Amino acid sequence: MALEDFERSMARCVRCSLCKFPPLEQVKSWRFANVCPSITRYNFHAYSGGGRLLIGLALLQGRLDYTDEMTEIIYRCQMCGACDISCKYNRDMEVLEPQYELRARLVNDGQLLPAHMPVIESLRKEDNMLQRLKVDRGKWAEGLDVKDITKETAEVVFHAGCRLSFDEDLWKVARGTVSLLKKAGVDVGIVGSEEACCGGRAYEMGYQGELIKYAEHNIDTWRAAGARIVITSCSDCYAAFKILYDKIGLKPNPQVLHITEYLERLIAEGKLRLTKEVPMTVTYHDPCHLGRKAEPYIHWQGVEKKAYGQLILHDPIKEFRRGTFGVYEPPRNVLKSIPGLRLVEMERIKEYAWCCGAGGGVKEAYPDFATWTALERIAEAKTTGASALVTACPWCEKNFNDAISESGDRIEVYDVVELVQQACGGA
Amino acid sequence: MAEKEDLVEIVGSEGVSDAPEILAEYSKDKSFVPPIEPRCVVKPKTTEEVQRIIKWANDTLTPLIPVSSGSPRFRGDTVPTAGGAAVLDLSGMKKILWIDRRNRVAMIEPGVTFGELRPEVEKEGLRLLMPLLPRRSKSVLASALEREPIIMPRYHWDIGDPMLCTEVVFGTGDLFRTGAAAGPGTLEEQRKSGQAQKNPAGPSQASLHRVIQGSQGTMGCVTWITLKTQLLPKLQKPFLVGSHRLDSLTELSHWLIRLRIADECLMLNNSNLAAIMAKKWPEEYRRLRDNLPSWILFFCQAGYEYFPEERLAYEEEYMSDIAQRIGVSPVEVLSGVSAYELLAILQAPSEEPYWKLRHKGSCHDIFFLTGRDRLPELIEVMHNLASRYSYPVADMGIYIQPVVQGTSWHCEFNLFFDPDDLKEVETVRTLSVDAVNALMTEGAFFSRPYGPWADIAYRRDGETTAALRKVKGIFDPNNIMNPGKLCF
Repeated sequence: MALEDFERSMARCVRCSLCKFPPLEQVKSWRFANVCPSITRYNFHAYSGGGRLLIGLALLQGRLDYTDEMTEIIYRCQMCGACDISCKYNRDMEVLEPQYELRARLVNDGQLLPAHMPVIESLRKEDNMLQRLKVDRGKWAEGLDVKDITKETAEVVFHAGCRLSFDEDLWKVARGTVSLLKKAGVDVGIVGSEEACCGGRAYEMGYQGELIKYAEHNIDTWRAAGARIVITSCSDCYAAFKILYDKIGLKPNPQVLHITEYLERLIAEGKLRLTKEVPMTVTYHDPCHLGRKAEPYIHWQGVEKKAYGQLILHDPIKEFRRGTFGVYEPPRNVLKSIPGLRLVEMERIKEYAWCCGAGGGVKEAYPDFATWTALERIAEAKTTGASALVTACPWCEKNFNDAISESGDRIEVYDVVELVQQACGGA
Repeated sequence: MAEKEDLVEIVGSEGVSDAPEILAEYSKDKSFVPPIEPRCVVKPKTTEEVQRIIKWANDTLTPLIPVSSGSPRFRGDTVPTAGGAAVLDLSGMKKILWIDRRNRVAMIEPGVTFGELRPEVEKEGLRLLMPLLPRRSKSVLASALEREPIIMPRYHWDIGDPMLCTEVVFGTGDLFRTGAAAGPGTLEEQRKSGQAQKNPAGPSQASLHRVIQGSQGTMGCVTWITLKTQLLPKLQKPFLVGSHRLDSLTELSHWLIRLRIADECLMLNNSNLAAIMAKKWPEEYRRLRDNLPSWILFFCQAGYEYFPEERLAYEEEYMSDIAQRIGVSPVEVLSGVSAYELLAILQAPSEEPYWKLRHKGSCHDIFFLTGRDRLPELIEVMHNLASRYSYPVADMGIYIQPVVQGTSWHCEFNLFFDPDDLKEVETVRTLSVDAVNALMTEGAFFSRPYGPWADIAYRRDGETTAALRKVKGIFDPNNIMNPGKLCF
C-alpha cells in the first residue's frame, strides 16, 4: 500500500474530532474521557488522527512542503490505533493505515527523525531495537535447560523479542515463560543469540523494508526448526507476526500465539495448575498490540463507489477492522484463574484502552511524552483501588516502571506471566 | 367567588369547575405525594385562553398546576403543591395541528393522547416513537416533555427526542416559540418554503426547549409541540432473546444499535414481560413469569419503501452472526410468548386496565439513567434492598431501555402493590425512598426527579439548584407556576 491508496479515506475526514475520545457509550468519567495521548498532551488538532490525515492529504496533493515541525507532529504519536478505533466506531474509513504510509513516505523522502536514526542503524547491524550487541541476545536464557532450535527441532518456539532479551530487569519474564512451558510439558525451544527483531517497531517508525527483511528471516528460522506454534510474551512481536506479516503477504505457517493465549489453553487443559494463593487486587492494562491492533488482518482489493451522489460503497464489500476481535479475554481469564487474585477493571479497557506510551518510536525519540502517557494510565489504574498494574507486554511494563521511578508513584507492575509463576509456586 | 367569575369570563362556565368530587380527583394521584385539594379546575381550549389564565394568576397570585394527561396519574407531578391552587387542565386542547410526511413531523396540542394521535399519523404513512406501553389517557406532549424514553433507540439522537419545537406561555404570561418555530418567518411562511419546525435548537444561541423540557409547567405552559415521527415500515421481523445473563443481552443490544440493525430494542425481566402478556390473571401471569428466563431482549428489524426484503435479509444475517458470537439465540417464540404478538402490543398504548395496574392494582416506579457497565450492580442494590424490606423480588418488574443511540441506559424498577393493603403500601413507600437514596449514592443519575426524589437530588447539588431557582425567577417571577417545584 502507499499513501496514494488512502487519498479518499483521508479526504473523507470531516474533522468531527471523534478520533480524540472514546466513543460516548464507553465514556465513564470526565477525567478519563480522552483516548489519544498525542492530542491530549499537545492539544492542537494536527496532533490527532484526523489532523495527521489532513497533513497526509495536503502532502500528497502538493499543498504542503516538509518542515521539521511537520516531522515532529507526525512522530509525536505512539501509533496506538485508538484514533482508528474511535473513528470507526460508526464510520467506514481508515485512520491508522494512512498514518503508517505517511511515515513511510517521510522515510522514503529522507525526512528522518534524528532520534530514530541510530536505532535503525543498530537494528540493521545488530538485529535489535535496543542498540545492543547481537552476541548478547541469548544471555537471558543462560542456565535454562531449553532447546536451541537452530540445532534441534521443537514443536513450540518461544520468541523472546528485543526488549525481553536485552533488558536485564525483564529477564524474569522470559525465563519465567520458559519455566512455565516446561512445567506444563511443552516441547519448547528458543532461537537464542540467533533470534532477530520482529521488525514491527521499525515498520511503525516508517521503515517498512525492515519488516519484510525480518519477516522472511523469522519465518525461515521457524520453518527450519519444524515449529508448529510460535509463542511470544511481547505484544509488539505478536502483532508483527500475526498481523503485519500477514498484511505484507508473508503469513507464517506456524500458529502464532501470545503467551496469555497459550497459558489459558494450558490451564484449561489442566496441564498447568495454579494452586498457590496470590492475594492481590490487580487491574489489567490491554497492550495496544495485543488488543485493538491484534485483530486479524483483513485483505481487501476492490473499488470504492459512490451511490446516489453521497453513499460510499465498496465492491466487493469491505470489512473494517474495528478492534473488536483483539486478544482481550485470554489474559483476563488467566488472571481470574489465579487463586486469591481479584481483577478490577479500569475505565478505558479493551479496544478503548489508553496506550502505555512506549510505542511508535516515541520512547526512543520523546521519552518525556512516553512517561507522561504512562503516568496517565497509572493514575487511571490507581482509581480502581488495585495495588498492582498487570500487563502482557514488556514494552508496557518497562515504560510503566520508568514512569514510576521518575514520578515516585506507588503501584506495582507485573507481567501476567509473573503472577502465573507465583500461583504455580514459583515454577 | 370573584376569581371564578374571572375564569368563567375567560373559558366559559363549562370550562371551570369547583365541584367537590372534581376537586377531590385532582387533589391526589397514585403516588405517595400527600394530597392537597385545589381551589378550582380550569380547562382552556386555546393558547389565548392559557395566556389570559396565566396573566390572571399573576394578578391574583394564584398558584397554577398544569395537567395534560387523564387519570390514572402516577408520579405526583400533578398534585397541587400549595393550597388555593387552580389546576390548569389542558386535556381539552386536542387539536392535531399538522402532520407532514415529507419531514416526518406532527404538531400537536397538550390534550392529544397516544390513542388519538397514532391512527392519524398512520394515515400519513408515519408511526410514533412510542414509550413503553403508555396508558391510553397519556398526553403525547406531556410524555415528550417528561423525556420518557422511546423504545426505538436507533431513532433517539438527542435526549430531547422526539420533542422538537414548542410554543410556550411563560409564567410571565409572555408567549414564546422555541427552535426553528421562532422564525424567521411565520409558521405558514416556513411551511411554504418546505420547513417544518424540525430543529429544536434556538432561537439564536439559546436552546430554551432545554429549560422547558423536564420543567413540566414550573417555568411556563406548553401549548403545542412539534414531534419527530418515523416512516411506517413495510416489513417487520421481531425477535425475542432469553438469557439468565443480563450482560449477554446488553452486549447484543449494543451491537444492534451500533450497527443500526434494529428499530425497537428493549429489555424486560420475566415479571414485567409476564405482566404485559398475561390475559388471564393470576394463573397466566404466574405461569409465564415462572417459565420465562430471567431476562428477555425484544428487538425488531424492519424494511421500508426501498428493497425491504433485501434490507431485512442482510440485517438478519448481521444480527445472527453477532448473536452466535455472544452465545444467545434470537427466536420468534420464547416460552410461549410470540415476538409478533409482543410487537403488536408495543406499537399501541396499553389496553385497559393499564398494564401496571393489572397485577396488584397499583404500581410505583423508580427509574434513572446509567451506563451499561453499571447496570448489574445497581440492579443488585435494588434486589438487596427489596429483600431487606421483604418485598418479593420475583414480583418486581424491571425495564431496561438503551437511550440516545445506546450511550445511556434507562433502568426502571416497577414495584407492584395492593393499594388496599396498608402494610404493602407502607413497605413500597419506605423502600422507594431508601432505594432512591441508595441508588443515587451508587451513581444512578435521576435525570427526571419526581416528587420526593427532587429534594434528594437537589440536596446533593446545591449549585445547580441555585441556578435553577434563578432561571425560574426569570420565567416565573411571581412563582405562580407549580410553586415549590423546579422541575417535575
